[in-house]
Amino acid sequence: MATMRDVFEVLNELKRDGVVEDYAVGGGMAFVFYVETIRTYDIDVFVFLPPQDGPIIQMTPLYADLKRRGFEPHREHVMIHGVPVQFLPSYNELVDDAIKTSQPIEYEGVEVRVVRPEHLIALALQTGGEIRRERVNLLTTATDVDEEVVRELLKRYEIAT
Amino acid sequence: MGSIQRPDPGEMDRIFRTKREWHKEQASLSMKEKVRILLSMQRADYPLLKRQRRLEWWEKPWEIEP
Repeated sequence: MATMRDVFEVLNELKRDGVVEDYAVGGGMAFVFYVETIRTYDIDVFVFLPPQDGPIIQMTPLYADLKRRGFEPHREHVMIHGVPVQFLPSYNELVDDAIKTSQPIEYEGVEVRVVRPEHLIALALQTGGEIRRERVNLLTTATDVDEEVVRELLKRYEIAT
Repeated sequence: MGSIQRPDPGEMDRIFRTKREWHKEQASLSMKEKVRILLSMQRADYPLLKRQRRLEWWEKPWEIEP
């Protein structure tokens, strides 16, 4: 049976092969790297896709490549080794920043790029919702979050708290 | 109605401190252990969630090992 390591390995292969320019794990799974286990049923992966023709970014090349690797896309997710992964092309400057500043964290010998806690907080507050606010509370309670960085992000991206 | 009795503030501080420490301990577990807990939570939650609402196709326990 496949392991979580195999799933993360696919993300690195996509980057190595130039299918994505860069990636960072975000959402609930990123929180799990920093806090206690929280419920999540998919893995959100923010990506920079290679330049394309036209103003609108297309997911088709990424999905086609994943299909060739044996991972079938189904609507907004791709099942990778039995885990639903949602690839999200960077949709604003905060996400750009979250990908660029993401940090490598080792998982069973594989380096996974994960959004930093301060950016997770800013993203959660930007998106909003009760569950995300709970996650922010968990992060600030259980980890050493740089509050100055969080304040600066909230100000720079005009995120109301 | 008489005044409501409250616990000793020191005792409440101790309870909240213990709670914070528990969260920190859980946060410091290895990622592999956290994934093992996540898979176990997914398996436990799935029958309950299925009864509560219609689930998306991908909302099911992951068929992987940690």
